[in-house]
Amino acid sequence: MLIEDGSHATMVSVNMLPDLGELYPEGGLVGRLDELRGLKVVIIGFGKMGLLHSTILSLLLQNPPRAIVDKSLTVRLGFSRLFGKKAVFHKNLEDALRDGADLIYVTTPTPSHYPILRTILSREDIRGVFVEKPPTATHIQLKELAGAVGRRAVMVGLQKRYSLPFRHGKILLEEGAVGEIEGVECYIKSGDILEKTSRFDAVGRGVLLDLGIHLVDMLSWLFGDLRVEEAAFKSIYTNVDDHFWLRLSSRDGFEIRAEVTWSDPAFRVPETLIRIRGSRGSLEVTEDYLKITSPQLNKAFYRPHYYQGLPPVLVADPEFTIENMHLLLRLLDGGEPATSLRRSEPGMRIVEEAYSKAEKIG
Amino acid sequence: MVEELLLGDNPFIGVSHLAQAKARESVGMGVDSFVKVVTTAWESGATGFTFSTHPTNLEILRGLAGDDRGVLTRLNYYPLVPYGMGYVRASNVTGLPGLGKMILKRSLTKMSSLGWLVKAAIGLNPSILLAMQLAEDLAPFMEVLPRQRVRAVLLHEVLTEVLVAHDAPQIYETLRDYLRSSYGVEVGLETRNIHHLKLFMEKHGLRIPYIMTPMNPLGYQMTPDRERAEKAIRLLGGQSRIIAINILASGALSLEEAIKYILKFDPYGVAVGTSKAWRARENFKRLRDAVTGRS
Repeated sequence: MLIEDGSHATMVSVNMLPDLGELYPEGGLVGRLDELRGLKVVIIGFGKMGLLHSTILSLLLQNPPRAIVDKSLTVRLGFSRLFGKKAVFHKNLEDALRDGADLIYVTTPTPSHYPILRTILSREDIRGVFVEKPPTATHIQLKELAGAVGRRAVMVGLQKRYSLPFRHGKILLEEGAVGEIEGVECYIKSGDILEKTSRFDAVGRGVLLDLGIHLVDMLSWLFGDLRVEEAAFKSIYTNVDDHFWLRLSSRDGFEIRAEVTWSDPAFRVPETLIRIRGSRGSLEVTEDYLKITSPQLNKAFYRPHYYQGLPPVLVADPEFTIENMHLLLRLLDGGEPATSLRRSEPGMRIVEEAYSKAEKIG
Repeated sequence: MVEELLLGDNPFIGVSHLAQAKARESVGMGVDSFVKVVTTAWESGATGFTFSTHPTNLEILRGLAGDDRGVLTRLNYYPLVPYGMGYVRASNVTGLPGLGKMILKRSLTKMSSLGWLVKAAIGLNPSILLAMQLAEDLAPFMEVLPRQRVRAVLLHEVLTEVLVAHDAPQIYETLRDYLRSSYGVEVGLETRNIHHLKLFMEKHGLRIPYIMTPMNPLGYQMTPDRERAEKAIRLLGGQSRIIAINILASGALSLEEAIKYILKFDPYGVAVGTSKAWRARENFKRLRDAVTGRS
């Protein structure tokens, strides 16, 4: 298999990937989808992400959501006329829950996550909950909610952790593929906000909470306990942070430099890059590829190596389907989701610490 | 028999299913060099161009109009609407309700579509407003393109997957009727969930004239798995014109591997993208030779 890599071509072998069962355990759901027939799904907030999850779930389960809740009359009227009578649209959550719900997706704007989750978690009949990232506006709110989860599957939409190159990177780090870690440079960048908007005034926080949470969540997942040493931000198009810089330190003594922005026009779609320097080599990983370099080894794996005939539904990036499959599997088998509320806490703690220490520049 | 060898536009507008870093590199090459890629592709055997309604593609088409060999009038065209990322970005700033209201306002100013607006109001049918928005996205391209060369307009996967998932054939039918009446073109679908599209078409007895979908021996972007996607492609190939995309699995395969696989399905069209003129020359020559049995 030949992949062009800059000016030269590198031979890479698919059989060097980890076992698929380890890399993609969610594949186990494929033969079990029948067990989920008739699952009552309710989606709260039918914006871009609500529509995305509704589309993935409908294709996976061959069953559109039972009910959709949205405050906007334009959305309710528009989509109910577009879709016909297949899904029932409600203005209020209580109305949607009257007919029962097994699984609820919360894809509303961030400030509303906390009150909605409190309402949902107070009900015993709901088996699973998905909340889009960031789970809450603050770390304190998240801690309170995490205590109310009980044995239910409650998961945060931190979908980067379900991206196979990142999972591969974690496996390699755990195997000590680059030796002792000496330093990390990373970013998450997008060109999502390139004009003035007051959309984020309500939450009072910007790119670090909304987009950077993906990166800091993964840094906690990959490197364990981290501390914020320095933080700075700049406002460009919003009244909050559009560009954020972080310097973090790990318990093992290495330093992480991170950059977060949603206002870089060069990034048509968001990209997350983590570059790890180790005593025996280096590892660079994004949603698209993983490259490992050492004196003995020089390998690159790209999307087409990871996603061959999987996942079973493809809408936007494959990790969105895989995160949905992960939650559905937890619903069937029990167990805590990889991005449960509790497991999202370290990332949210870093966000909180960064905002408290951040200096505004520019 | 493969009738169309199409140049794809992904590298021109910053799309790479291999790595975004590569896409960023190619975008910087500029419109003039992309015009050169299109003309070289045509010289080497390309019969058409498939593209999203992205501003860069409009510039490329305007650039082609200046070619004194008449390349613009010799190619066939398969535009894709909507340009999904444009709408995603707009919704990041306004939210989805804001985007909906914007579409509504724009539609209401289109007095030329008064008859359709009345239909939309009487039937409370927002699909008509969506159709009007897509027609508006297409309008500047249709002004540049020779109308008889626009073989079909394809609905982008961001729309296809939503209407298939939510079991809404009426959306497709409205968009098809509106675009047909506006531009006299056939309306097809682009999908990365071909098996689900097949089920949807069977359920509703729908006939889709053109279907664009990934086809490669790795099964990359073929769902729910390569085998069932292949089965759907074979079955739908009997009634729809199948256009194969991502045949190189974003660069993971050689052209020879891709051609060997594709020819087993005998699609109507094959699309390949590149941002380099030398590669356009090489790829389209090899593709032309392969489909005409010269190699």
